[in-house]
Amino acid sequence: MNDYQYFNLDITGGVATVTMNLPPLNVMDNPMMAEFNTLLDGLVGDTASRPS
Amino acid sequence: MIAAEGKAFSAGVDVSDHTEDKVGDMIERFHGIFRRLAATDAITIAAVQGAALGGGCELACFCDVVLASDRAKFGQPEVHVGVFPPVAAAILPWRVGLGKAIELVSLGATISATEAHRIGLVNQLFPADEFNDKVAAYIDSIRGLSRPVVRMAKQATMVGMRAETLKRLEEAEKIYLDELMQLHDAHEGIAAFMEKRSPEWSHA
Repeated sequence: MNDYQYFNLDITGGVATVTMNLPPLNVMDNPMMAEFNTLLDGLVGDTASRPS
Repeated sequence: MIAAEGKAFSAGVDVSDHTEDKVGDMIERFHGIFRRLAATDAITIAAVQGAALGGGCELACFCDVVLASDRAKFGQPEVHVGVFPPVAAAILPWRVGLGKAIELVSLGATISATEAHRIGLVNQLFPADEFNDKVAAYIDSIRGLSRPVVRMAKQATMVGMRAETLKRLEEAEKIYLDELMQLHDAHEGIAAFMEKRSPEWSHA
């Protein structure tokens, strides 16, 4: 499950792992931050990663 | 959990996005990350394998739990380029106490993972060569807990703090955009960084 350009997303057993993937420094620019916001919005609506 | 590939956890927000024409958009998007993190009742964890500087340090220390490699470091060098970190200003006094928060936010300190662990910024410090295994073991150790119980325990622990954090962030943002951006030194600091020279402060 990885529809993101700047991140790897893994959701396993109730734990969502968001891995920034702009090595070596993972500098956050505007497109990356926009995607970060979208990704977090998706997680809030995704029951697999919700705490209940 | 927020983790990173590469040598650094994150060196922060691109300095070229701090110029006058871009700073409004940058702050909106960057702080959007924290407004979203603040909205969840899930436990947020940062796995910091390398340097967490500037916005990278803010991202780590905004998480409920910080797991760090002993090779990591933490710092808010913003004042060295004429600005300050609003998220760190909002959250660090709670996390590490006012004195250490002032050193990091206002004086631009960078500290080792060991020191960050000592002052409570880092929850768990792991040897670099075992970092991934130790993080996986930590996650496994909490996976067996009841999710709604954990969520309610976090709600109870943070009573009053979430709204206060968002209010503090809004105030810090206001100082940044309305007051800091009026300073010559803020623009000089960013320009000097981009031109790879030392800033010449006019203290105005």
